[in-house]
Amino acid sequence: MTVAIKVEKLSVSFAGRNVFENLDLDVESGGPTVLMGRSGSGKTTLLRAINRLNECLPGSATTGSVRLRLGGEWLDAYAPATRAEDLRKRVGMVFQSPNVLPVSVGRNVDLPLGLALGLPPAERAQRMEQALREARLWDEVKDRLNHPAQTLSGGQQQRLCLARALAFRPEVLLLDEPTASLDFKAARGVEDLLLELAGRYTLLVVSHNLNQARRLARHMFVLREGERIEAVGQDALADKDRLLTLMDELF
Amino acid sequence: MEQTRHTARDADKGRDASSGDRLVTALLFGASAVSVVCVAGILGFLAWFCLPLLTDPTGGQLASVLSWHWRPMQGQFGILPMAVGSLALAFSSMLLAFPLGLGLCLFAHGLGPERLARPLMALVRLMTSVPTVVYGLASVFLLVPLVRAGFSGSGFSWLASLLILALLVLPTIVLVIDSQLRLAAPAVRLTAAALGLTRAQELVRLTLPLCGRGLKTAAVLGFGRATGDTLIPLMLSGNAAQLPGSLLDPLRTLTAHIALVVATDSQSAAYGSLFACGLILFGASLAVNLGLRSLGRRKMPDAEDADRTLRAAPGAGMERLATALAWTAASVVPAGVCALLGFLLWRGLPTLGLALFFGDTPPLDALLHGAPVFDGLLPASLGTVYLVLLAAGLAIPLGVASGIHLAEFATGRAGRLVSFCVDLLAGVPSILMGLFGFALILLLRRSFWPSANTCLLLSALCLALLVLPYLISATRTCLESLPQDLRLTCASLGLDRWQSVSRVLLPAASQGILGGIILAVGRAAEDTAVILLTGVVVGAGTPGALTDKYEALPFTIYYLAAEHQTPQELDLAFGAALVLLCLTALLFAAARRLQAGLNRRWKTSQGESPATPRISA
Repeated sequence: MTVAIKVEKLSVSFAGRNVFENLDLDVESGGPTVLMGRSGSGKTTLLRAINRLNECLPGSATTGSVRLRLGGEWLDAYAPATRAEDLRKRVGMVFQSPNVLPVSVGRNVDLPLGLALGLPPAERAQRMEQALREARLWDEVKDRLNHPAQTLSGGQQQRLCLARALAFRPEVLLLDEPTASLDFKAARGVEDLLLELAGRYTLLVVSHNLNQARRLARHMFVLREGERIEAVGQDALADKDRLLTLMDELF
Repeated sequence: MEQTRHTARDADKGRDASSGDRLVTALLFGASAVSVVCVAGILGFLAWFCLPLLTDPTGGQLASVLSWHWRPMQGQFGILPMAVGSLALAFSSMLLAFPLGLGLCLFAHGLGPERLARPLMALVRLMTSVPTVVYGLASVFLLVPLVRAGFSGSGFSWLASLLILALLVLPTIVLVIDSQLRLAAPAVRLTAAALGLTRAQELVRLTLPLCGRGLKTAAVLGFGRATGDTLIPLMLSGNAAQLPGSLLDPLRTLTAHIALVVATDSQSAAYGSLFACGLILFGASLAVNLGLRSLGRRKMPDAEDADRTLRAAPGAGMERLATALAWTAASVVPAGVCALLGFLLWRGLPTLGLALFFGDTPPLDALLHGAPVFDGLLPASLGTVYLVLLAAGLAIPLGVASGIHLAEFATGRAGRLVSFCVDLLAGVPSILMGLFGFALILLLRRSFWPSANTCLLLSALCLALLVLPYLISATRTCLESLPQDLRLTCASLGLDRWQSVSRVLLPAASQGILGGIILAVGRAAEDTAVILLTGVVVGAGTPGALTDKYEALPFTIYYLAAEHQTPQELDLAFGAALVLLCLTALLFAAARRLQAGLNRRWKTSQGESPATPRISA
């Protein structure tokens, strides 16, 4: 196994308040790697530090380093020469609540492909279909691609967001509680999908659902109140009772 | 560790951008700089022309201007009565207009029957397209005789101008509050309903407090409009240069004073007092803006603002009060507007016909061979069309660009300076834009262009300046009220700033921005005060060049309302008013259509994306 994301001495603060300090984290390629922690422990902020999304929020300040192995080479996310847009094109993200753009289903995938990657229409169409198939959404939406995306159900919207990220053919996918707004069945569907995708992408998944984490995780970390991050051993992952005891300790 | 410190500001707003991105940023910044330059220019001109008053060694000139008597023949140029008149009129009309405007919004947003909401808002939007001078004309021949009959005196009074001025500023207030309510309501509606709140409770307790900034904006824009209006006081308030003793007395405002002096006087002695008036008006709008700024300095998010308001709100009476206010406003305002417009239709409709436009000249000769038209409206109509197109062409790109800059790109001190200047410019009375143009010509004549004269281009420039802040504020407000999530989403998809602004944020905000453009175009078409000082004349004919004098519909109406010699000329004025009203209403309808079209394109993107197959059906 090789390391795909290397986080060193990372601190993020908003308006002078530290969210976490001096975090170190190695994420193996493939995965899924699941990041757990109580709400407010900074899981989302850590995830957003990897694709530099915190910078889009007012008052944020980041120190430390985040390096990603992309295309076989190490890329320093915060190096002056790294453009945030280029980074984000190669590191896809799926938000906690479905964040469809206020356009049609098709345009949600098509528009960013055209703008960010500058792909010609034919390739965009082909990639859109492939991504929608990968996200198991194609059959449901192929006849309503020009309907407003908001008319889809919550689970469909979330899979649309996943498809939108997949269409970029990223090497890393960051998922922030991707099933939080879904019902049980839809959540299971997305989980199966993630397990399948882990063969091709590096997946880093934030979750606060222990059962889900157990089903998904090949590696697991627990973030504790902005102090430090604990790796959960493989032995604990395999044994439900041991995991529960450990969680009680860590949380 | 220090070498990799990234703050939101340096990394995001000014991130090391590609050269194309930098060019866009520079262009947007340039658009914003225009507002700063204009404010500095207006203030500079006013100060420059006031300088003789201050440098007069005896101090006699200054004392003469700052006195209570305006007797130019005896060398007394006191402007204090006008200053008091301006303030009294603006405050009194806002006292009437703000509650009515708020009431109309509450009525349309759930305190009145739902099926009345649409027609009511349609009426308000129609009101935005009613030119000031049209209100003036209808009031001179409807309201003034009523006041005269009901009370005593001439009828040209504080009361008459107060009532009409309130009607005039009302749509500004309503549209601002309405757009804010529209943005805030969806976030609250379902939650409030699920918690068992009534529509009145939801509006008064939740939605309205969330619109704190919108209410303030409405008040500022409304007050700016009330102080800045020239035509209503000029036509209705009697213009006696004295302090009014009661609502039935005549008064003269600073704005009307400037218009009267420029129109009747061209001696240099009066100019000093003229620019002193301008300086006072400028100071007044500056004071209003600074006051508001100090109120809202703590820049708290709207939710916290709302929290405070909620805690401060008194008991259950609020809902009943709001409902009463809503019903009062929804009955009084439409009645007033319908009376005035009905009167206008009654007087104006019989005059409509080819003769109204072409007089005794054969229409084909006039249109194809440029035969002069003497007692028809053709030259004035064409003049107005040219003027509005020119002004809109100048102002819309600048205003939208500057709005984008302020909402998405501006940071730190420069951003604050620009937004201050924009607010200030919005509060600057329109007659000052005219005075600015007039002073520009005076300056050019005295310096390197002795033959410079007021003209069509000058008027268009001044009008563009007048509507610029409306456009900037509308664009900025709409962009800033889009959800933060949308920006995060765009960034997470690897779009750069300009891509997310131009392809996602702007289209998402297009409805509101076009609303601002509608307001601006309507404003440019109807304004009379600016052109009064910058080149409009009676009988100029159709302008052939940008440097020609020209006629315009609003000015024709104003002139004939006061100076008509025969009943036929008065009929011409009513005809012109009806034509102008139709013209502005048409402009307005066209803008609405455009808006609907853009929205459709954005929502379904048909024909835009080849990757999107049609629905098979």
